[in-house]
Amino acid sequence: MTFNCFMKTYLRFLFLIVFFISGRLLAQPYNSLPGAQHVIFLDFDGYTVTGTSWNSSYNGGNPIVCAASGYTDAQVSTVFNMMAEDYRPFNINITTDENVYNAASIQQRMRVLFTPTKNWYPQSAGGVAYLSTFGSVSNKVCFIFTSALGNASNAGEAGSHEAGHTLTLQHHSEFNALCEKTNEYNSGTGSGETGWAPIMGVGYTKNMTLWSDVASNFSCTYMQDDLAGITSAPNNGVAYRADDHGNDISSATPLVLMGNAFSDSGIIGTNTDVDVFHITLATKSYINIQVNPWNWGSPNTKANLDVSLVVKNSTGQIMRTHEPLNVLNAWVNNLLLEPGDYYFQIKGTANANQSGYGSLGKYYITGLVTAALPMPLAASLVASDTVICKGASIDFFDQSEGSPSSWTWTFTGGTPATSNVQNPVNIMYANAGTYAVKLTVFDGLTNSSRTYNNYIRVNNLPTLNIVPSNPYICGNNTTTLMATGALSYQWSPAGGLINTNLPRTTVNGISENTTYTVLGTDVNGCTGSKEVTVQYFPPLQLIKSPATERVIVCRYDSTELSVSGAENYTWSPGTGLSNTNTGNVKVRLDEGSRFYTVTGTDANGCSASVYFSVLARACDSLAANVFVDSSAICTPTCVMFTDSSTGHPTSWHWSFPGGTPATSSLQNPGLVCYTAPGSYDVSLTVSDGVDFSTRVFPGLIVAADMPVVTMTAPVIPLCKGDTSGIKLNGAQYYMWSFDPSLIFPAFPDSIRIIPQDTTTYYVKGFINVFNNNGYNNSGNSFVQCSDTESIRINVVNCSTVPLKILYFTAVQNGEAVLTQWKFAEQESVNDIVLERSLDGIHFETLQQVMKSQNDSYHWVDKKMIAGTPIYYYRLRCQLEGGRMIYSDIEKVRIQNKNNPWVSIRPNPVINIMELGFIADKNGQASLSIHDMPGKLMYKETFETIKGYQDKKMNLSSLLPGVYLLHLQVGEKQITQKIIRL
Amino acid sequence: MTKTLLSIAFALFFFSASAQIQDQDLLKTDKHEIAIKPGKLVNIFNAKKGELVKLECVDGTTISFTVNMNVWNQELVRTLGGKLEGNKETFITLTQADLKQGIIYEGNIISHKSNIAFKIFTAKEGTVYLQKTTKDNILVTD
Repeated sequence: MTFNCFMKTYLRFLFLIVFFISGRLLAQPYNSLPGAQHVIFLDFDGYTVTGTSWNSSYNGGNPIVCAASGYTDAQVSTVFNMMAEDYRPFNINITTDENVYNAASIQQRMRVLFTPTKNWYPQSAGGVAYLSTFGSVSNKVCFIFTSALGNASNAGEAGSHEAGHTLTLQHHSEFNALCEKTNEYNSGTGSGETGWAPIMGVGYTKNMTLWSDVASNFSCTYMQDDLAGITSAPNNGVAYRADDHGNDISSATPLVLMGNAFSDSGIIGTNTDVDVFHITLATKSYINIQVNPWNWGSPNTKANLDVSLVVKNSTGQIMRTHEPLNVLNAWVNNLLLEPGDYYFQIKGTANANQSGYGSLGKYYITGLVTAALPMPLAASLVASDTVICKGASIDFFDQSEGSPSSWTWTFTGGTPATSNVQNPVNIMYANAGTYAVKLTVFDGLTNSSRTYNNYIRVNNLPTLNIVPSNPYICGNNTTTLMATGALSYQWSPAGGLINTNLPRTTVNGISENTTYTVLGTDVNGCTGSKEVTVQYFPPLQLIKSPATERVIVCRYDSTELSVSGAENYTWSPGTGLSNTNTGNVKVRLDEGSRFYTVTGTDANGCSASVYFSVLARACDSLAANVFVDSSAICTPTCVMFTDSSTGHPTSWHWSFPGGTPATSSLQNPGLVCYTAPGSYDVSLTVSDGVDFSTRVFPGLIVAADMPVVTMTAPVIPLCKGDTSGIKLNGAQYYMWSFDPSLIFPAFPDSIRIIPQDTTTYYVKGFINVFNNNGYNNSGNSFVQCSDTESIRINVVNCSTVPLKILYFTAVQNGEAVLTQWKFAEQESVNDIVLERSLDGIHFETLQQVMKSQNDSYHWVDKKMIAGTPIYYYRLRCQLEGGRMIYSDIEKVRIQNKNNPWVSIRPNPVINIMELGFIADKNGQASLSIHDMPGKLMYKETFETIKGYQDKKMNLSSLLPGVYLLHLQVGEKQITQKIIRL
Repeated sequence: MTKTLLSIAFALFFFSASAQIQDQDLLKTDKHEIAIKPGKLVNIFNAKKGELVKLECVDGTTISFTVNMNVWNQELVRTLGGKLEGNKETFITLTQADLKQGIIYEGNIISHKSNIAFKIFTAKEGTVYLQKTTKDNILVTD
């Protein structure tokens, strides 16, 4: 061997060593379904991606050089086996052989590239794929970024997931009750061996990751059928694998015994696939069967198939079924079978976390057949359950060794208490306790007996109680039911209950008597029951009167409120009510408002409430009252009386003293006439049949006589150009018809005239009649009584020169009146007469005065009349030729001798009283009027100035009668009777 | 000469501006499917990297992109890629496969800035369509 040859040999050896150490490259490639047209190539050893959207969209069109995964053979094997199992149901070859991939049609293959190279992809991701590219001509690679996944198992999960995308599948997502997406990836449920998640969700932490048919990421209502999607047309012929074992007895696969053992395997490819195996037993034998799903470690790691195992005999009778809930494999141990044909039926099944839809995959069946050899007789038994609840039944199975031909069972506490069958069933235990079971077997020669003391424990059922025991519902009300005595509860039926699995539930919305049953389970798992009937009563309908909630009542009146429809009533509050526990009550409020709640309860105990909002206001309590159209009248006249009583009177009795008619029983008596002046009372009594009301209206009518106006003129006829006066009488005040010759005087009851021609003067005299009786029940409390009168003044032309009186005065002088006058010339005066009048109208000769040389005269009138407050004086001069002329009238107010500083006039008075007094200094005066009993009727304080002054008072508010007037001015005071007419 | 150069420059500018508008409108289109003019696809696969390519549609839409990739994936299958002129964040990939049943085209237009995307596919009768969709119906991350 030359050096070169040695070196070549050495290099070849070195190359082989390196090649061997690299491991992965030396391993045989994996193929899950060799020869299949459809290929998913798992590429672990690096690849340069070109000509894809990955390149053009993410790498500027440039190649993406992806490093090898760096996975060991074991890791590659993990990924391969997990993905192979996921795609086991389909005619897809999961391969690690690139040649297989290259040989496949471009539209029937996909490269799953496991690489740590991800810097070219802008997002954080464990894998990325273009959808639906398995069956297309482009983008024939998807990526699993191993650096982001942590371990090979996760890479296997991601590999199936991304490959699933290329096979058209979208994600399975999670949604809340409002159909709002809460997680793009469905993370599954459960834990442990049966913990499940969809492959197209996220299943890194779950043992079973399966194809699923739960909601997709489109919508909570869009269920994505993964199996249908993978086998859909876009994937160019991807379909389920051909079934490898028959589905029934007739097509069962025979199991070949190798010694006393058998084994086989199969694939549950669809969720309707059943694989049936057949074995023939020549002798009575014990058989043990174990069916394990494909897994990647114990216990059933990453298995996809939850196995169901059923053993049947040749007639199809089920000999044993095994579908354990918490593990994925199934088995049958020591099943003693008579000689014959038996069938083992295998399929995928559901468990607590998955529905069975994706329970697909490979399984392995192994078993042992052991001939049953004669054994010494030894009684033995097993019970289907040893701890039961009272009333439950137990099946017993003979487990005796040997060949017993008869069996004697004794079930202490059970029913039946004894049995002679081999496997007695339905032994019922009616009472709680611990019981023994005894089995005696006999094989024709020997007996064997065995007692299993305290073998059966019977627990009492929980004693349930429901509170209330007699529930009822009124109308739409609810009632609560509370169950006690157990740990967990289940109510039924669910209708009308707001929950069914809590001790407390609420009955809501039933419309008839409903019986509910609650099942309660205690710590022993024993379940008791209790029924309760919820009686339904129609809702209590209260009828109220008045029907309105707001009731307006009259103050001080009793108003009836009533509620009916119930048996018992409660009114609240009781204020203002006649009682609080009857249907009818009377309410009386003096003022304000009050809100009453009336709660009625019927015979069923149903209650309801109605409400009254009572508002009291002043109104129609029975009270006599009248209305008269005029309470001040001029007689003779008639007034109209009408009834204005409140309440609801049904009879009336009127009394009109001084009127005609004097009485009436009509509600509205109409006109009542008065002919004489005076103050008249009216009374009215009304009755409503129960109560009566009487009211007297003193002085309701004030009547005055019509005035009779008289006009007097002293001189008739009158010389043209002379003045004269017309005196009026008979009224309180007067209204003249206008005439240019009128000179309006200072006194309303007299007037000066200078007629230029014969003139007729018209005057209207008035008397004001007031009725200030204080009632507010008349249409008119004031009236003007009037009378019209006229007088004709004849005027003649006189030729003499009129007398010129320079002045004429009259003043009080002590207890006399001093008159003084002076003529401008007195030659034509023949006679001078001083006249005096007490009323300013009717003058009498006081003194004829002798003509003197001097033009000035005076005369002292000493003929004073006691009590006369005012005197009127004038001169009457007769001129030559007989013509009479008069001076102006002088008015002298006489100061009273006893009360020289005050005068009261007129007295008696109708309305207006004039008060004259002399104040010694500026100050205040106080005036008051009392009635005879001393009640103050009028009071006024006013300012005074020094000297004489007048004050007018309107006494119309006083009723006719006698009063005492008291006046105090400074230190002077006087009290004097006055009469109000 | 100067006028001629200016005219050419103006024409190029106008062409470029027009293509941009067309591309932006493509992303905003309310059409579900847009057919590509028959016969317009074959020639663009002769484009070289860096070359501006126009893809004309039946409705008048023009998609202009600068080729960034033109690769034979395998015999009779090649893929053209590029960046849209009107929207620099949008990329087009178009694969031509000369299959037994005929030439088919597949591809996509994906915007990196929005969720708008177009799927390019060949209908049974041979018409190639742009189908408006969302990016998550084409490309799935995780």
